[in-house]
Amino acid sequence: MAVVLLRLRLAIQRSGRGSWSSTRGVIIIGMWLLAVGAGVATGALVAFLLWLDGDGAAALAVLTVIFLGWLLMPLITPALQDQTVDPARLEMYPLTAREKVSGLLLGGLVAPTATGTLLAALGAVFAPGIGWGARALALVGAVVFTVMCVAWSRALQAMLSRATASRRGRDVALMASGLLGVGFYVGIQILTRNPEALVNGVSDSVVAVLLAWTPPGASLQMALDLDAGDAVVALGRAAYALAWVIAAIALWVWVLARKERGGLQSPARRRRSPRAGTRLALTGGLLRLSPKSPGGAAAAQYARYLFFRKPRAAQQTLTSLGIGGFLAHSLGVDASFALAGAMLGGLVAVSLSTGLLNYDGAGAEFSVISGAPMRAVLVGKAVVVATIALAALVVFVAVEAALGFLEVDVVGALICGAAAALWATAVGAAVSVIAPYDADKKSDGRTVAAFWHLGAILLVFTTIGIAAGVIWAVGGLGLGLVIALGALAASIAASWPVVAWAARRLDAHQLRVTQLILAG
Amino acid sequence: MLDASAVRVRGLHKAFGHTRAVAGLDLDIPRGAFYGIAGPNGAGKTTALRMMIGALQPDAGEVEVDGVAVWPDPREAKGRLGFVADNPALFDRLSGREMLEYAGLLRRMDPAEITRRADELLRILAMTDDENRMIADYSLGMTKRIGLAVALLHSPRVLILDEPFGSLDPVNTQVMEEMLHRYRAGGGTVVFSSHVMDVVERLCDRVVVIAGGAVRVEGTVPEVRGSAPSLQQAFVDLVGRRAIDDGELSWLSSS
Repeated sequence: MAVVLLRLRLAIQRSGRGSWSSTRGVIIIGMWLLAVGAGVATGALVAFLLWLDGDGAAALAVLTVIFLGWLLMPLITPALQDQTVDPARLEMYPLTAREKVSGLLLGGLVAPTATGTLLAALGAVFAPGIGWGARALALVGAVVFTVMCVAWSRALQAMLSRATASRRGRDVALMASGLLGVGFYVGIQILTRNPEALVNGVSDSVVAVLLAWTPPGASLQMALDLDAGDAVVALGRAAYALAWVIAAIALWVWVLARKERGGLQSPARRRRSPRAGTRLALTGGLLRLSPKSPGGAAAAQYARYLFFRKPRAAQQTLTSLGIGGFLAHSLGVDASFALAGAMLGGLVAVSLSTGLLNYDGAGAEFSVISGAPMRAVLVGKAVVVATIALAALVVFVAVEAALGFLEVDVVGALICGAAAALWATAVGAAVSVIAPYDADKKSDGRTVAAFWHLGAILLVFTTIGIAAGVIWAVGGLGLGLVIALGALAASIAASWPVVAWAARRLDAHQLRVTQLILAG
Repeated sequence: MLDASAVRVRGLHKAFGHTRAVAGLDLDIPRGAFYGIAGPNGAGKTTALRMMIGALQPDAGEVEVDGVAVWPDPREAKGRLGFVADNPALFDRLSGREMLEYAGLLRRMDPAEITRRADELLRILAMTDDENRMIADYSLGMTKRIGLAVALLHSPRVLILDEPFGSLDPVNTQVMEEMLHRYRAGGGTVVFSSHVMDVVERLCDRVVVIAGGAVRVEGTVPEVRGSAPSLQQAFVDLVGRRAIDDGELSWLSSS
């Protein structure tokens, strides 16, 4: 039965690949090439690190990171599956849990991700200065490591499938992936500024010992133990690594068997208590100040979607604020603080305003059917973005001041940031109407929109660059504040006609815009 | 002079590529009527309804709702009608109550009136316990009930529904029917599409059968039923029966 499932897996791959000329075929072949390339590169890194560092702590860290990736990525980004046969699709067939697991495991091993992982782990086999016995054990360790990654990943997926398939689970996963993305970006930035911190941290003896006893670490450390002449410890560690593989498979079988018996039902849902009072729920809380009008309603809807009703919108918010803040901080320290404020305001506003309609989904059709004044709807949403960008700007300036980075131009930073935020909001609002799409769907509309988004970013940052150049050129005249106020006035004067144009266009072409969104 | 028709359609045409979805549709739906639009799958019912509500521009023809031309500018007509789709298009990350308030504010209603009507609609539709849950978490039946509440909130003159009773349980079907009857008693006009002929026969004063994007027959329910034992039979006779021969699917009883 395992072979049948493996053949099914291969058939899915073959049909997915299609002809060499088809786009999907190119993508799948590209994925394989990418996986092999990344695997070989990581394998070379592992070999290099083993040659560089006798106790292999850094190489152990690399394998541990790969293992964590296997555990986390399928849960955080379920869309990035590698065409593995979905266990849910096998439920209708008369297969035992063991048969399913053996087939799914074999299928999971014939995937670009597993191949890349194996190639990465095989780096230890080719590390310079290691004996032949250790090389042979490293080969076994690489296979054990790969099976361990696949088995634990799939077992966890199976265990948490109900949670990740639920609406709340998907929401949490999406927002977590946004946070992970920001964390990854910030981490890379910090490490590239201070690489010694990583090497020193990993080479610390306690960390090295801990890494050697993690399941992925043990699969590599056993070869290093043998190379050091400690065969008993090597065997013990091999048994330990193998035990983790067996544990993963046992967990997987147990989860599937329990599912078949209906033992993983979610508990009864709790009811929320009904709302009291007569105030509007839509415009409650911080939104109480918003006007009770079509524009105010649209603003409240969009604000709720960004914080944190709609996961993709929330993800965009978190990413924009995180990356904007980090970028502005770097610039504030290294260059002009007014420029940093402008970068923050511009980046946050442009990244949030280019998708003013993209999170509405079917609601876009409701707006049209209800005869809503679309101009007011667009302006309401644009106001939300400008407010968020301005609030982020104020927080950023306050934090930087508190951290002592500033004896500098706080007022200038606020004014320049506001000018950039308003202009970026206007540009983004126009792009929202020109190239709308549904953020929850994959479609060709995204590709077209990506070019518009890129154009919007370029336009905003080119404008900021020109403005910064002018301010720098006349800086010697001592008119910094006056020029900053002039930039704000110019931004308002340029932004309003752009927003008004976008609102008119949406009003006039609301059916077409809605069709683009509903088409994806 | 006020037109006697709540909805008037003349020479409505719509094609998608080479497919003619609606081909010269003419309708006169009287004020205060309970009007059924029936037809087989792909007959053009939904396309016709979407052109009536201003969500799809016709290639040719005219539509008037409550005496107001829908095309070329449907905004005024939209204020006079409410629409409930088969799967209502709503902001699914708002709660049921927030969605009602959003719809009310978009239609420039007074916030106090929105609250009063929303409370009443939610109570009658048995949605009070779930009013703070997101629509994304509703069943299709609950979504349909909120869709109906949203469509009724501004007290439209004409209510248009596309397959309104699908996915509703018998109790909610009865509640919806009562609401629609009450709405009509208050002077409203109900237009709904369905291919469940029992429902059409039970509720409607008049019915039109559409096939191939054009009217096949229109009249009161007894007129359309004619000598057939039921409206269902009359419908099948009209649009054509699709029979299964005796020999076909014989393997189903072989095990």
